[in-house]
Amino acid sequence: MTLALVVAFPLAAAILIALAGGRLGRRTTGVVASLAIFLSFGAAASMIATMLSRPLIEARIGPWLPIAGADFALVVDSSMLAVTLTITGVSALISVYSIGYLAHDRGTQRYFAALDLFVAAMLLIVLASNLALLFAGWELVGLCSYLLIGHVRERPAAGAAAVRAFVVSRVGDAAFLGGILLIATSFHTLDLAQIAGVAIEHGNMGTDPLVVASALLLVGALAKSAQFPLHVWLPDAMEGPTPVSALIQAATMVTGGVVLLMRMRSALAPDVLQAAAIIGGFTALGAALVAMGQRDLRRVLAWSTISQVGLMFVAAGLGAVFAARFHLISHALFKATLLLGSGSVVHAASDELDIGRLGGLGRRMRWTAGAFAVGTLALAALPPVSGFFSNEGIAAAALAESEPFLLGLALVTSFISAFYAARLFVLVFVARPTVEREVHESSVVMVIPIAILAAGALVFGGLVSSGVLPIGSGRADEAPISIVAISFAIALAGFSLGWLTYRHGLERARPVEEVTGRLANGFGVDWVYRVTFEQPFTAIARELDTGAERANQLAIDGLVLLVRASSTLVRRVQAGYVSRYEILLIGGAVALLAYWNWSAR
Amino acid sequence: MPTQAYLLLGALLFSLGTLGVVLRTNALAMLISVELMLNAVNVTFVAAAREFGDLDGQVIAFFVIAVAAAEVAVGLAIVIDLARRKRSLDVDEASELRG
Amino acid sequence: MPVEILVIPLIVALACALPIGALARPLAVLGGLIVAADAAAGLWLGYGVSSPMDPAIGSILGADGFSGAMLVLTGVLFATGAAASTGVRSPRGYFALWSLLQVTVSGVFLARDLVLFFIFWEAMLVPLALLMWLWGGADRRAATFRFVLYTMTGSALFLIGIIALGVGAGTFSIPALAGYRLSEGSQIAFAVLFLAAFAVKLPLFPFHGWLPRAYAAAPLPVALVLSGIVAKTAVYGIARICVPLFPLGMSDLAPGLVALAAVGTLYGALLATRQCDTRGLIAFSSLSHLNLIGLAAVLGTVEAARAVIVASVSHGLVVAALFLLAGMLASRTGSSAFATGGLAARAPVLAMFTTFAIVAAIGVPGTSGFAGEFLVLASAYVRFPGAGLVATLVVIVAAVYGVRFLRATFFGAGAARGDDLSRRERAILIPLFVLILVVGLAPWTLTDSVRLVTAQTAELHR
Repeated sequence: MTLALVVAFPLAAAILIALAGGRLGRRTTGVVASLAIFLSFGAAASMIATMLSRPLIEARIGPWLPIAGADFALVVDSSMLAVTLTITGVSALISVYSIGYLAHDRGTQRYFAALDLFVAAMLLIVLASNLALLFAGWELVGLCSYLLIGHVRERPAAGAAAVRAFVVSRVGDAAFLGGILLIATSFHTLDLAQIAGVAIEHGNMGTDPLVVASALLLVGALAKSAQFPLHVWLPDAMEGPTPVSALIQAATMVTGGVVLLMRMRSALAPDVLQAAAIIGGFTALGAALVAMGQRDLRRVLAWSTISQVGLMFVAAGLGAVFAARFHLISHALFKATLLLGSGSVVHAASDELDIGRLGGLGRRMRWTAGAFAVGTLALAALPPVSGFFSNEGIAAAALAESEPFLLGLALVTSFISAFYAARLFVLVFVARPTVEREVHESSVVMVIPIAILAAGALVFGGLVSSGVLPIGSGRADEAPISIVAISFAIALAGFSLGWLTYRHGLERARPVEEVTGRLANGFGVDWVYRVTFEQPFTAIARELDTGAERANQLAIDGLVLLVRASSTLVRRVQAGYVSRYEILLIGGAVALLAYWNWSAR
Repeated sequence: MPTQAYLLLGALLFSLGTLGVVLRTNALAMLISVELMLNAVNVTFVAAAREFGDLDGQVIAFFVIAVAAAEVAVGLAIVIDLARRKRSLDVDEASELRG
Repeated sequence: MPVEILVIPLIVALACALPIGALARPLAVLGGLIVAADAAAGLWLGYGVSSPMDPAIGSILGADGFSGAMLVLTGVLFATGAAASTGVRSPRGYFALWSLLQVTVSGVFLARDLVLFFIFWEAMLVPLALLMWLWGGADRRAATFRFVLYTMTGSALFLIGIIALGVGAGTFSIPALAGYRLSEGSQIAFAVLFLAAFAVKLPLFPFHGWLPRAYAAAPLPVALVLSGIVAKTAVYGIARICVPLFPLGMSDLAPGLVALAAVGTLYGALLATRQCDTRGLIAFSSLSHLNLIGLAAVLGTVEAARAVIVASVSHGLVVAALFLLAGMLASRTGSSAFATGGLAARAPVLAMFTTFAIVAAIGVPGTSGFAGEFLVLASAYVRFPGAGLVATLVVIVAAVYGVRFLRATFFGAGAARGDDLSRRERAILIPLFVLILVVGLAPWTLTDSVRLVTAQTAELHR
């Protein structure tokens, strides 16, 4: 039952805050929300001991839908326990940070209610024992992201971004739902363990409807994890408060797709997993290229998230679940550090987001700068920070699966990542400021979570790599020393190049910016979307409205006219003159008599 | 006298009454015509009763007379009301109840 | 025999003949609640289950699990609608007709005889049309006229079907007819005649011509029951009359009907994205949901019957909440057009409640909307995966019309007026929300009680 508590704490807190949040007061609301997630973390941590003696912990809470397997039931193994601890731990720190970040916000009640629900929903994705409950978490995550991205309702951009995130997420949800239902039709159950069992036994995920089902599940995963071509919502989602971005990109939501691939690994069609790896590889590279040219501090980080999650897809698609999980956790730590750090920067620099207009913050915000430096090194995959070990794990996995192409993609991505990581850090903290402004370090309640996350990002990789800290079953592919050396060299080269290019500010790097800036529009995917998706959609709806629906209304009016016309014909008979009625009566009687008389013969 | 003669008389009276109802527009005249039709039926009934030696026809004739009395009572009430409202006995004046 | 379900609202209607004035509304609310409680108790105790559609029982009235669930919904929605009917002109007449409407709707769910069914079916139209005609909005005359005309056209064909079937079989009893063997051809013919009435009343795409105007012109509580429960009489008719009586015919017609319903699901949702008026939005989103329910209703499997019950109850509750909120919004902004914006700052609780209702309407898990949608789609995929996939796309389109409405009404910095929800308004909405969550989290409370009956339907289907 401890397992149930892991989900129940944030869920209960969400309900409590939604119902009674107005009476709690701003600060108490935040404390309650954070406390609930910490308790959830504690509950998960307390299961580590149990985990040593048995492989699985299950909790069946009650029935739900009248379909086989669709119950309120949770299950966890050591791997997913590690993911659970990451989610709850990082979310709890983000929640604490939010108390400081939203100290002057009027909507803390709905913010923290949605935040707790968000965490609970994400935990459902990780812990649900069946696809129906997993889907429930899947959709609720999308809903909560909508609520949180659109938190500042007065900003039109936030509203638009929230709508976009929700609709794109729902595209994935629709595909996912279709996949689930196809699986339910073929397997007659939604229980993940049973599905995996049947799939392993008969190997029948290779048959046609199940390839379709797998493909649909993959589309769902792509949308949730912001992978090409369903990544468009994530850069816009930065319109939400920064802690929300941290939550979406580090702890929850975008890792949902990776978690799904890991959990459904044995049931998905092999071709589809292969496709996931390839899409992940291309997304990783493409998003990294786009990130190079971004001027908005938070958009750099958003595109880097897309890129890093792409690497997780590569690993998960190749079946290197350990590497995928390793990178998932280390990415959660360093990306949360970076995003919360960027939130502090934005807070301090009075909402300035353009990295060309920031600079020199390193001396004024020492704590933030230090943490950000750790995050940057991790993003650049430089030792001894965790990003180095997890990136190397993915490269080793690609090598072990003898996928030279994907290995190449991963290495090029890590070069570019190192380049733009250096660019970001240098421009914000090191280069000479272009605009003089008063900045100050954030409050303690914001600094402490960042510091903890940075410390985690710093040591986590080494601890796992040296075998001190277990993160669940499986183990990393043994990386040949050549790969370690090559990936280190590539990362170092990219980082140095970035540092040298931008060390004197954006102005001095104008020739480079002109090249990278061309990539900043994301290869025109937004435009393609407008042309191939949004415009046809509105056009179809408009055509139906003015065409089919008009025709339908006219048909009704036609019926009305028909009735009107026949009634004017008939009403002449009913003229109100008694004598006419009389004639009709008698005429009718005579006619009837005549008929009877005639028919009797 | 043969029964046919009574039947012929009844038919003649009935036709006259019918024509009266159809052709006249004066409410009183129509009422009288209806009376005529009813009594034509009475004649027929009584003639049939004599022909078959059965009293049923005569009994029904009494019923018809009773009904006719009721009908006249109601009919005259309507006529008086009509006369009050329309200042006329012409039934075509009262043709509000039309389609 | 659940006669009290008919008698209680009848007493309320008769009481409205007395000079009770302001008492009429509480009385109607009470009548609805008693019926809901009575039917719920019946469901729990299984009164329907003990007297399923057994040919041996000659009774002309009776309830089973399916009608029990519908009767609970009837009671809840009529109570809710009556509670929302504040400040109506000539309340005694209004509530008398209101309660008569409740009698006739309940009668449809209780009738075990085709003639009686038809009488209730047609009698439903009288109070409904009068309520629309006398208490409706601007377009009420034309809307009522079209509604009555269209439904009567369907009913005429239905009547022909009933007479031909009853005279041929020598009985009008539905349970007896279920055992009557018909050739496949005549099953198709009868199914088409019966469906004429049900397809218009549901309304199945493309027979929905009356719907937008009726939803817009009817007084709000009447629109609420029109969509929430009157449409369900058609679902009930399809699932409990057409399918058991003409299993082969319905099986032959199913591909066409499922295709229409799948298209209608998407069509309604797409048109809902074009609406700029809350009533229009509800009308077309309801069209979408009702077609989805209709899709399951024609399938005739046990799973489909369960899905139909859950989805019908869910849609009734959600649409009631939406109509109530539409009325509350309109009373604040002065019109039902929704491009006012910025209301969230003035009325956070209203924003929260509306968001919840929309979330339930577009089928987010945890709410009843999801349970219904998921079960319907799951039952559709078994035989018609293609149509199922088409209908699944509604998930996307629903998100578009849902968030489009929320954004237009609550986001932005518009100069919104009006106060937050009053205590009374919350008191009407909260029970509905609780029920939506209960059905969403524990749909088995509805489906368990009908297991026996649906199993029997499946027997008849074979």
